[in-house]
Amino acid sequence: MRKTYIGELEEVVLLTVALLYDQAYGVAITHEIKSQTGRSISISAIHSTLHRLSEKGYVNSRMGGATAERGGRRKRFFTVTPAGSRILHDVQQTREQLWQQIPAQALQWKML
Amino acid sequence: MAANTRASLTVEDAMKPPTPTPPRWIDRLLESFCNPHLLEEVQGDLQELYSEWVTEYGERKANRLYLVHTLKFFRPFALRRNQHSNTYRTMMFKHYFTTAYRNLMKHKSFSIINVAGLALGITCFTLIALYVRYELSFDRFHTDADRIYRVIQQKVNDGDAFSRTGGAHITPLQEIAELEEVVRLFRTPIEVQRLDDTRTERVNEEQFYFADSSFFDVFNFRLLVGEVSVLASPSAVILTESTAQRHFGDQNPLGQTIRIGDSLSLEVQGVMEDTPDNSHFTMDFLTSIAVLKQYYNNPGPFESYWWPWLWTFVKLQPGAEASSVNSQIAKAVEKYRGADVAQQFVPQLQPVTDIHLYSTNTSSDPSANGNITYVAIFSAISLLILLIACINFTNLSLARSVKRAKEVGIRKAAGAGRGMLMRQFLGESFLLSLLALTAGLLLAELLLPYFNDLAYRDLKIDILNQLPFWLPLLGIVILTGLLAGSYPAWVLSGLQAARVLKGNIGQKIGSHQWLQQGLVVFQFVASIALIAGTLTAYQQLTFLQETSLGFEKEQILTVPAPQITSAEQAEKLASLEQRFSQLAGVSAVSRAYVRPGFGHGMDRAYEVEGMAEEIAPEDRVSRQHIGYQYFELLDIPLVSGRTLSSESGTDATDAVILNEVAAKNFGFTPETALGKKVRTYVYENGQTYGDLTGTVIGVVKDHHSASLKERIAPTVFMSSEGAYSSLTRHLLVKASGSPQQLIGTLEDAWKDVFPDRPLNASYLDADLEMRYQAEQRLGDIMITFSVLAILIACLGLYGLASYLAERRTKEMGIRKTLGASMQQLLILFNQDFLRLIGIPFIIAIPIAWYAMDYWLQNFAYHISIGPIIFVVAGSLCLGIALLTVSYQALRTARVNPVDSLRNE
Repeated sequence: MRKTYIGELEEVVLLTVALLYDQAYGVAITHEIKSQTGRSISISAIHSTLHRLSEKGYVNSRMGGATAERGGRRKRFFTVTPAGSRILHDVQQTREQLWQQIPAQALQWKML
Repeated sequence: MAANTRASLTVEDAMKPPTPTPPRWIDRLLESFCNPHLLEEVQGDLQELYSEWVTEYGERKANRLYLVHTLKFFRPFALRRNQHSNTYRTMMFKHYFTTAYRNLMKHKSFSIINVAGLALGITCFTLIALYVRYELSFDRFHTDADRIYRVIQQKVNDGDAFSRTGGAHITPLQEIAELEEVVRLFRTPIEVQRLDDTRTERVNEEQFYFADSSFFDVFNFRLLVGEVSVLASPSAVILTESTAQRHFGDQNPLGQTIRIGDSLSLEVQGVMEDTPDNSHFTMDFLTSIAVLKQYYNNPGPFESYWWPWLWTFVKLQPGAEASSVNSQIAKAVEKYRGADVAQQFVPQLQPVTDIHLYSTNTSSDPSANGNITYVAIFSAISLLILLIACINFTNLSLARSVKRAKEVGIRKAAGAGRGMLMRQFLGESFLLSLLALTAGLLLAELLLPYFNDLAYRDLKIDILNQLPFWLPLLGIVILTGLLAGSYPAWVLSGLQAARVLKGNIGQKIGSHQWLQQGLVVFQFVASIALIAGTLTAYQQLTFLQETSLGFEKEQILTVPAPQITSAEQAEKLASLEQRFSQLAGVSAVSRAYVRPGFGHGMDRAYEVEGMAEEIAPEDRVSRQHIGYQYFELLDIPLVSGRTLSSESGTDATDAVILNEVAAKNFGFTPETALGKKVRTYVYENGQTYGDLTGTVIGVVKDHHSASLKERIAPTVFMSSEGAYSSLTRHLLVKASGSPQQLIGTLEDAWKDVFPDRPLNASYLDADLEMRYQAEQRLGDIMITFSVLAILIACLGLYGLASYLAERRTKEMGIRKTLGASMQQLLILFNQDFLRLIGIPFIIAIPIAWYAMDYWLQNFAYHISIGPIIFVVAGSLCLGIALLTVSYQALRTARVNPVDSLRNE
């Protein structure tokens, strides 16, 4: 099977979906990313990323119940699929592997 | 649509206070483009965020955010998929494209001229706009740029301003509550040496800055490594990234030691990012003011309002009014400094963002400044060119559209409605203009390196990051496209098919000629004005370079003298001078405080013995210090008396030489001035500083010791020899032969006396020319762009002529058969155009005259604008126009009448 790669924003969103387990929907993900990393990402970018992730098969979604602050509209909750979980592990492992091979002096002083 | 999938609300939800509702129209907007399948979750999320925004920012901002975030959903994944594609529409669309393409190909030269003209215009506009934008961007990158001001001193006597203030100003400034921060900044060239095993030679560092510890609170330069508090330490220094690279390569600069001057060691404790190009000061080293005190061997607080002479910046409290702070500062300074001085040198706030373009006294600023006049001239030129190009485009499109009347007739006969035809014509010219925009931007990108050379800048085109800047250009281009297309769209589409096909439209079409001619007139007004302006600028430049300065500037080398702080060093300087003068190829050596041509000297109050008039406190005189052979070396003639001489014994401390203006101002003739006592000093708070008195021994002829932008100031020359040696800043060396060969021998002599200091000799004449760099640049840019403007205007004229020629083919044919000669035809044809050039000539003269006169007011000494310039500009335009038109006329006139009369 062709290996699928995942972008940095996709990775962050996917991790956040995992972290928010069962409570992950657009607004919650935006807030979580903001509070965890300080990055403000627009809601449309989150939706677009979620859309890509679900096309790649890394997340599943279901509709939840309606709430008043959303004008009676339902939320779409996302969960990580087994494929999503595997890619997260893969990414982490690759990084680990790369980190361990970096010689100690490489990350010391370097101006340019 | 969303309503039927909506689930019922729970009781709990219904109990909550009503949630704010976002504007309905934004919702509808979203519904109009969003994929219905996604609508519910998207709208839900937006609504949820909206209620948060309302509580956080209030309704107005929330509404705005809601709109922005809604619009951001306009991306492929969220868009509604179009189920029923409109095949009929796409077909027509394709058809229009085909027609447009065929039309372009059919009249290749015409299309190329049309697009190229506009593209060229856009290129010029883009390049100049980038430049102007850059000039305007100076110092705006600081987060609170609008609250940062520099304290300058307005001189009451001559309206000039000092951009620097004495160190003591900080005391009164610190009393003002509305100032959040005050920081003093000082720069002086410093010899820097690395202190480690590979001890390097001393390097003269120009960009060595000293600042108070509040520096980083006022300015937004990022420290990459180290703490902001380093600036408080008297033994630490911060380097910029590239300086660290330059001195230490890949080594870690932190903890390294450098030595400045003769004995002061500083440890590198921080690295900051390089100062951006559009900062008015460029730093390489930054250290504490405390270090400066040690360097100058002055441990006390800087208590003088005259020294050290540094830049003082303040940051206002948010909401503070600059004008009220201004008067508070004036009052506070007056309290400390005494009313008499403080009212002559009024402290004033200058916005940091104004420093680059609006500073009047650029010589005391850290780098060469820009000039708002030039920015204005360039903006005007670029707008003119764009306008010329747009007019051209419109004009050519108009000319061409007439030929398409037949096409319109047939389309109408085949059932095309007016709306369709309008859309076709508008679309076509719109497409063409967009093509020109793309071509123009590409060309601009290609030419950018050359333009950067011309403008001495490092500009970049980065459309995505400069979006707000490019949108107006896009708007102008679209507008041009619409304007160019609108005439054919309106008039042609309204024609009756039957009449058009009969060929019966001449009358109606001809009626827009006044518009075309008006546009051509405007183009030529602009071109003539540009040529005249360019010629004036060049004449003035030549004048600046060729006017005799009153002293000999050739074959002179200048050498910055080391700072003289002790008698021992004064000896060294004298021995260096001695050695220089003994070298072969050196004809004279002298000293100067300010190099000739670079300023009048120190600004001083004065008293003169036997002077008839009362001296007003704002009357000032300039004091320059010079060596023994100064006037002989520079070939400045004496009017009376004698010059400084080493033989007299008292000249080093007692002699005074005046220039003619000074003698006249003091109320003397050159002869009566001799023997009078002159005292020059600075007075403040009951104390005087730099108080020197001497006896006039001679008067020299007036010469331009500052640039030609300034009038010759009354100047008192005193010695910088003997006891006054510390007032030597430069050595002047006059070569008897070529000065190039001299530099090597000078260096050897220098090394003997100052072994570990670098010699920085430069040529006086080259340095003097550098003073008019900005003017030179203006001239270069103007000539380039006025050539382009003429080129574009000629393209337009060419198009117009070819259009008229085509219309008159038949007339020419008939005239020819009836026996008209070639000359007669040419004259006939050119007549109309001569008028088109005559009118702009008359309009352009006053405009160009006014603009150039305004510019020339920058110079105390300038040329007068003569009629020659206008004659030259006019005939140049006329000549080019005649050539263009005659080419077309000749083509038409040479056609065999058989061909021109045959077809109907």
